[in-house]
Amino acid sequence: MSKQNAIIDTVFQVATDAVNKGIAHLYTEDGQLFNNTIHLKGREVVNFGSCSYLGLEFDERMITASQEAVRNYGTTFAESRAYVSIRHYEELENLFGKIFSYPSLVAQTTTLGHIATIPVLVNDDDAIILDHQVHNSVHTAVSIVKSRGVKVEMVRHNRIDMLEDRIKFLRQRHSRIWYMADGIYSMYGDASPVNEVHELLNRYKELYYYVDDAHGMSCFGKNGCGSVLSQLPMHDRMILASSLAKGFATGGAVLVFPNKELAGKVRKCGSSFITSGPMQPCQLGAAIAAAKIHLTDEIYSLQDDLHENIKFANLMLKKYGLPVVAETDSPVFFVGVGLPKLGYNMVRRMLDEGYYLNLGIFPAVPIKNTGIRFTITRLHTFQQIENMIAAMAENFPKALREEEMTMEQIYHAFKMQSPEEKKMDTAIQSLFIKSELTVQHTNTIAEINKEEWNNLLGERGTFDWGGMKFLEETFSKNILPENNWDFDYVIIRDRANQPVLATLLTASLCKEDMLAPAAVSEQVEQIRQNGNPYYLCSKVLSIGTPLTEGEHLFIDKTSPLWKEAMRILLEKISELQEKYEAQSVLLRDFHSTDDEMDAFLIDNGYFKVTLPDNHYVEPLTWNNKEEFISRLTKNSRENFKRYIQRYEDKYEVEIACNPTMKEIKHWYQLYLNVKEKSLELNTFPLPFKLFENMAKHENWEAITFRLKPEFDTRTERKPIAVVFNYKTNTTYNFIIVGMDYHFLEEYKIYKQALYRLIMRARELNKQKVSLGFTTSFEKRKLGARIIPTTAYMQTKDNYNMAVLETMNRTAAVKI
Amino acid sequence: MQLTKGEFSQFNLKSKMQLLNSDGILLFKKKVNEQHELQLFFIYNFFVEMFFNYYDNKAVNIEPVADEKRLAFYRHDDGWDDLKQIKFSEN
Repeated sequence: MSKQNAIIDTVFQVATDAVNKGIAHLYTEDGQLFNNTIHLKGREVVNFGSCSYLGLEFDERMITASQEAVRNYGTTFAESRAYVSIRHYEELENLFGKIFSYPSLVAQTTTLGHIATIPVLVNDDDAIILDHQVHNSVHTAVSIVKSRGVKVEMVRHNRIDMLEDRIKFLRQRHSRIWYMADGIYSMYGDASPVNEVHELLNRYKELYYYVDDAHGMSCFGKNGCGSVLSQLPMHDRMILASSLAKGFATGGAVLVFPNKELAGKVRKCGSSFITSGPMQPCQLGAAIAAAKIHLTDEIYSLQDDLHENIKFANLMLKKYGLPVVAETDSPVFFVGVGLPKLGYNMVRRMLDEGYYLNLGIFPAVPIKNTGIRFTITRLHTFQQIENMIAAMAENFPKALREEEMTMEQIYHAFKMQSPEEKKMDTAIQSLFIKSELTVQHTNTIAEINKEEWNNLLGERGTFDWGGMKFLEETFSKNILPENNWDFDYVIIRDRANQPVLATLLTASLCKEDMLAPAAVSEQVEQIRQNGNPYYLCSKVLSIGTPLTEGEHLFIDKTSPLWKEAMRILLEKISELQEKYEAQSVLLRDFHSTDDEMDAFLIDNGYFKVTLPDNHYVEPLTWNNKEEFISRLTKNSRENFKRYIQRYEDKYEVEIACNPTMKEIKHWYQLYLNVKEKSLELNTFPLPFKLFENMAKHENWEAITFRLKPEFDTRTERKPIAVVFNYKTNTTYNFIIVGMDYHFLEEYKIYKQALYRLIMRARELNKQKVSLGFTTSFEKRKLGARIIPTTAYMQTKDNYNMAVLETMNRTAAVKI
Repeated sequence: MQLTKGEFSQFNLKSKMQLLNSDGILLFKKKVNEQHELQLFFIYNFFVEMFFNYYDNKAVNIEPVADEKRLAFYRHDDGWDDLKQIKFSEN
């Protein structure tokens, strides 16, 4: 399963949770609507989710115009605009020409408007720079040109300095660079710094500005032209797109061009103008009436009413001390709650109080930046606004207590400064959160009872007590930062001193493309090799270590306190994340599906990622090679005979004992050969010190493979393969392989190595062989059982993920 | 929820009317000419005067009373004694 599928799975989980909690996918129960209240779940609520900011949807003139259009032209005029449009289109586009003073086209929706415009205006040798938070509909249109190989990059939200840096770089390679952004962003309600963009337009003739001002249309500017054009004039290299389905209160979209030629080109060539159905007569009729209102002074009175309400809402939010993410003069507001569980709780509470508000959640925002999103329209009264905000303020601390969260966590998640008085609340609140559990936390395995640790986690992988001591000694005091890890161990016990939870954590520098497709890692490695070795690398705090595989988290699900233990662990992880300045947190590896744990972790802001499958061979109950072979499937037996057995007697296989430094160096080179080709799971190369230490550690075993003299004519018959395995009481763990690729195909080294280490495990009377991640085909042919493995991840922001995603699509094109 | 004088003043006429209608208490009305009267309100923690055109039935201006001395304008009206009990707020 790809990482993209894992994201869809998380979206599905989030949406399912929201639906199950009764706060999403709702239907109004009203027979008729005529103001800003709706009926949901049997009660009347004030709607704070509408984007009809001027309240024009109930305007009699627009309703009448809409009815007349239907009466005169029917419910639809089902013909492509490439052939015939009803005359309303011409009238409407002329009216928009007056509103904007520039040529305009009307599209069926904003998404279809982008799809019509962007692929037509962007040339193959252009570059596109997307603002990180630009609306998804722009991404949809850009994906079309990505498939043509157009270079697409991303910059952090509203970072004009980053934008300028990229313009300076890209202008040497591209004659046109498109910066695509929103006028007002749909989640946080903050605005694009259009004046700064305008300066860049004047400074760099290569720069073009494509802006989606959906949430600004009608609310700002002369004739309701929007937030962007209310601040700067139309530019020769600017394209404006706006929705007519929000403040304009009809449906459809308008595209504004600096000249008739561009408008004409899009009109003739835009795919959705050719192949998609037109707007319905009812929408066009209403839109004409709305456009006429926009061309009178009445629009300013409507705007004033809206802005007064926005001003009042801002004032109330400040007075009630709610954590608003961005204070702006836009009608979109976002009160941060941090984790999804608090978001679900608050939206449900507000519904009970008689107010409908939206939940701003993944994928619209990073999962740890969930919030309550609400909109203010002209139809709201001051009383409604104040009562809603007062209800939110009253319910906030109750919801925080229920979800065992603090305001401090929210301010921290959104990088806001917390007011002093809130710290007092936190201190008081913590007194009320009592726990029956005790926590042992240490930075070294030496302070953990060996027997207890090995009983809980010793047989799950290479992270038994001895294995962790080995890793602590190896991955410390090294020169390169990626070879120094921070270790933490957490054991949580109940009152009877029984462990409910135990785990190990490491903080280490990781490559963020580790789980990305190999083609993406290839692109990233090129950038790293061109003078930026730590590009897209960041500190990751992980359950487990970069070298270990297996279920690193012991949790006693039979204990009624397991969730409490998990909550404490997650709090501890948050503290450690701050301490180590880790960008991401990764909880791994999980071998089985656990819906309860799934829901718990998603509620706490984690999303699920799929790791490569793990592989085990067990039980090892055969007595000789023939018995082993007999237990394989028919196809696997054939495979074994053809690719393994045939080469068996060409090898000299040894368990290494007291190797020389020269031998260890050779093993290291064999490992580097494999590392260079392993972009499927892209990690930093392991340090030489590890190999030195493995060579002298009693639990580590190196098996070397030489060809017999008759098959190896080199002057020095060095090993052509080496595998490093870690022994626990019951398990033989295959961890590292090194190979000489000159001999790989001819002698099927890898398959031989896998087979021999399985045999070795049996020789040592182990019960199980862990064959690790990747190369699933080879391992299955030797009877390995596949264990699907997942992890849960949380990032401080999803910018780097978004950058990798843009590379992913470009890579897919090149393949 | 209380607003200060400054916060009240930032709103336009229509909004101030809305606030007075929901949260204000009308204390006095005083005719000033053929078409206009002054109305004195108490809202939140301060006094507000509305200059009202009763011929057109609409407010012309609404402002918080800046100076306590202004209240003397209503000295001879019924209820003046009660008015004196209310502490004048600067904010």
